[in-house]
Amino acid sequence: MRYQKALIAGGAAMFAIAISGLAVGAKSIQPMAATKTRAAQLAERLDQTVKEALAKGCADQNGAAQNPQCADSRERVSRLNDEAAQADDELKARPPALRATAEKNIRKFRGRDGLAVNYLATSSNPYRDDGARIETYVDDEANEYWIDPGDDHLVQVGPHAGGDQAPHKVGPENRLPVSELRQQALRLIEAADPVFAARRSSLHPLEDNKGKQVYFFRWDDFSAPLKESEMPPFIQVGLYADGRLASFTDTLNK
Amino acid sequence: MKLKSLRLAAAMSLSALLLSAVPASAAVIGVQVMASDGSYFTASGPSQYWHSAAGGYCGGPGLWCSPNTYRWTYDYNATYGQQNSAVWKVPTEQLVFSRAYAFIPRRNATCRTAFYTMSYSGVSGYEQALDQLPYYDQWAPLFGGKSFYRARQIWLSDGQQGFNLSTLEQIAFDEIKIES
Repeated sequence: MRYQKALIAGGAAMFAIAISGLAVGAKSIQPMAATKTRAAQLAERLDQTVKEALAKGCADQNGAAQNPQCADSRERVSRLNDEAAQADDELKARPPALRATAEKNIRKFRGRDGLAVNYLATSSNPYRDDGARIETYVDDEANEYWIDPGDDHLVQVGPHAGGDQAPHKVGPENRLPVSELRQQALRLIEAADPVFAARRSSLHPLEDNKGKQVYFFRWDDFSAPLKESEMPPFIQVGLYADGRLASFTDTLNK
Repeated sequence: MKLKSLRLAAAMSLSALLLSAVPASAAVIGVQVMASDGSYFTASGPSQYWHSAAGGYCGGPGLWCSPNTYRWTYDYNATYGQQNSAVWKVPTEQLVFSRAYAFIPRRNATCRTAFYTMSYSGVSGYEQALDQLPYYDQWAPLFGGKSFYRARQIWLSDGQQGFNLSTLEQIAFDEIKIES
């Protein structure tokens, strides 16, 4: 009898948990449905605004409409494009809570715990042809980061287009010896990709520079058969002659 | 083969929602790569200022495509103004949102402010500079990660509008990739 009561109590508890789980699930589905609706509405408005602009003769040439009276139409399309694109991204993006590891990995790579990192968008990975995605982040120094949302590893770092990074030349007095730059590059790579050291002997090394301003340290993996439209995997660090990071890419780690 | 179009399954996204508003046959979701000097590339300006070099995407990692060369020119803007430019036309206008990437070759790409312009929706345009110097045989992001509805073409010229560190900076014109 006591056993039956325990079973009934346990069953009731399980039922309660299941119901609450369904309720939580329904709550999480509701915002997604609202986002889809909003995205669809924005898409319709954008499509309609484009049609109206084209009907007014506001087709552009090289991004610049010839008719000055079309400035308002262009502005409306531009604004709606950005709003609709953001709604589109909300459908593809991971929840913010799941992006915490990505942001942590960016800060770890830069060695700055307090680095401000902002999520921008989720899009296709240009190095892959299998539909894999990247998340784009920007830090407070106008560096752009690509993160693989599958495992949160860093795919690429470089200057953020449109960011406020004033380019300057590295003068002779600030140049570091290439041997020092090489060591710095290796430290960065080994910290970002723990399996690099074990794989290094099977990779094809390359060192080069652009006008002695940026030095590149690269290792390509030519061992696997190439897919038709994918580059051979590689890992690369670009360092300015004074040791500042110019770029980083790791497509070895799939 | 100057164009590679990969059709990927449409996820449940705004892209898919947009498809319902247009004939299905008109929509392509996936990747389009436009080669420098390919069918969808048009170069303008004095021919003596255009240079061609082996390498770039099709001359290296993208061995499946052709031609295996890319174009480049000096940035003479400070002295002579804009002279040479090129347009990559998107072969199939995508009735979805797309993001653009430029392949930056290892050589002849030292321009710190290469101004690319995206023409989209048939109505609007967006211009933003890319620093080509930090990139080396790799894809670089254009337009700060922005996505564009109905990406139509991308335009690049030798005219700098910002910093001009050297009149001997070189601007590379190689593959452009549109991802949707």
